[in-house]
Amino acid sequence: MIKLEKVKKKNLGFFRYKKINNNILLTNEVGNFCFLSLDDFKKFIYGQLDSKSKIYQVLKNGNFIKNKINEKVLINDYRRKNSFLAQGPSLHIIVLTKRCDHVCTYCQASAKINCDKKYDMDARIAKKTVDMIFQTTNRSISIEFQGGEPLLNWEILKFITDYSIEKNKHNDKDIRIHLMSNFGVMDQEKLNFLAKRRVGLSTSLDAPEQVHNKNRIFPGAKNSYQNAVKWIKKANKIYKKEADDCMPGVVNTITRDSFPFYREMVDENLSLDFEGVYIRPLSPFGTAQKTWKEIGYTPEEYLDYYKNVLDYIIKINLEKKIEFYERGTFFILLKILSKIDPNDLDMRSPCGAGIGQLLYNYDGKVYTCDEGRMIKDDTFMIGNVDKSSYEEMVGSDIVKSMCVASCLDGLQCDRCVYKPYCGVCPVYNYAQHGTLFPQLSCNNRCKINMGIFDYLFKKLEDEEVRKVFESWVKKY
Amino acid sequence: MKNNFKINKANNTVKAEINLLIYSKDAILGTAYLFLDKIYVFIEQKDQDAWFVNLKLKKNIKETSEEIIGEFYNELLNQALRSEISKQNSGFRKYIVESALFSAVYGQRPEEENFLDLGDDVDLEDANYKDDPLGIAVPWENK
Repeated sequence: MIKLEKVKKKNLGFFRYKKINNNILLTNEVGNFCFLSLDDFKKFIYGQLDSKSKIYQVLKNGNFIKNKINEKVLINDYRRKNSFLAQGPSLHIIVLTKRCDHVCTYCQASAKINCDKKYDMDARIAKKTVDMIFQTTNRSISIEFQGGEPLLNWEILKFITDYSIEKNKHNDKDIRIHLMSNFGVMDQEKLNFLAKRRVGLSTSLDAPEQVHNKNRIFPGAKNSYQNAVKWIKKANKIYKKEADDCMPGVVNTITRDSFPFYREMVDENLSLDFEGVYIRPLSPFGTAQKTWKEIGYTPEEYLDYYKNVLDYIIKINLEKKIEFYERGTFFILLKILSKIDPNDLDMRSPCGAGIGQLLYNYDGKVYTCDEGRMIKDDTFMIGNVDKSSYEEMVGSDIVKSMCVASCLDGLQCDRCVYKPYCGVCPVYNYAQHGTLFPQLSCNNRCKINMGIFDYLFKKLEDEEVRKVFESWVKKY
Repeated sequence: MKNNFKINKANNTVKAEINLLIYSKDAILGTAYLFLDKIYVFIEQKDQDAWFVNLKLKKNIKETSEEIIGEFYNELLNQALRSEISKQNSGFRKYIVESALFSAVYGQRPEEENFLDLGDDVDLEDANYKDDPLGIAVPWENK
């Protein structure tokens, strides 16, 4: 029990804390952290720590002791960790079509099956979209094709790719182009085109096969899993030759049906030469809202699955002496174990909506972010490539509201020990609670993030596991 | 009121009297907020020095009323300490953020690490401008 009257407040630098296992975890504004035993924690806050002790030096080096603070280091670290604030949107998602050849049980984009081409982006909108993208203040541009299934609007995908590359000859941006596809209509000609232009590829693979095909229905009695695996293998081969710096990646969306198969999921991703897995919990958007009772779960159930996956991955790393990671965890560990911020747009403060990313819909409408277009109404629409200027959109009241709603300093999150590493999604909040400013204690995303951080910090107390985590971070 | 709280098991409610001389309003509100997924909270003023915090457990909560109020008081202590640390450091935190953003706007490169040991006896919170513990008023050529 802490005795408040004994606390030497003026000796304490700013920190947040939480009990983890039997120790107290301390974090500060720039993400430095350390563990103290309860006894040492009391000595620290009561001003009784021996200044020659090892723990005192750790606290001093981490800038937890007020009169020993290295001000310049703190300022530099804070600046480095928040450097994204001065850069502007780098991620530009283009929805080439709302049409899709799959009917997925959790489709967040509410894609349309077997419909006509009225849901496709045309060449005029495509050109205006690229012109708008190049107005970003960010030196880096990452164009990401999404859908529906983007390959169904192949001619426009080709046009945007070539037009962007050509346009960049006069703009000198660091440009990357990426395709999110189910590979349903992939063919060799398309793959050759994409590899030649170094277009990165990502696909969904909800391994094992029976789970994938239950989640991702490919009408016409086609086997979606086998088709995806076939093109992953072909893509790996051609990208190794022509574009080995942008090897294909994977997203593993988790439904209730995935839970018993965490080993198979990891093993299959490993066997396909991916660098890791990327498990994503369901979000309450689009079709997933309607199917939640059948495929959804509680945050606690998801966390059990997450821990099973991570424990298994750690075991593989230790036994096989390889660096195979879970991508979301990798981003979080970068924030915890390095002075770099990976600019994960969902996990930063403020979030990336409008200031880190923009979404350009097939019909010319522009939204704050990927999630913003998934809401049925146009709450998060900030303009139209036909009618709006870049400045009007990025400076809109909607973008400002998103910044306020996701800036953790103004939320209850400011009290949370995990604040330096976390972020909120206002669109998720709007979808779950009907407001940008919900009671975060009741928020499922907050519960999942909190559970993941609890798990990771418990693991970081284990030296062997910490070395595994550090090896992932060093690869960045 | 024994232990400063009273449990009504029939209604699944707890009435706690919180001393404002010990716990700040900020700490009480911060604590209540963290429990919103488990309880409904009703706050009323008893007098100048105390609040009544009425907790009603939501349905399907695993914990008992005793466990909830025990956790509530534990967290209250945590929040009180957090609140104090935050208050004591608010000026310095603001200074760090402003310095970082200012240097970014004007394109300064992050500086090399340079340890600034002010000594145990210097207290930044209590210092006034004449004390100049950071040496801000010292001309750069004399540093």
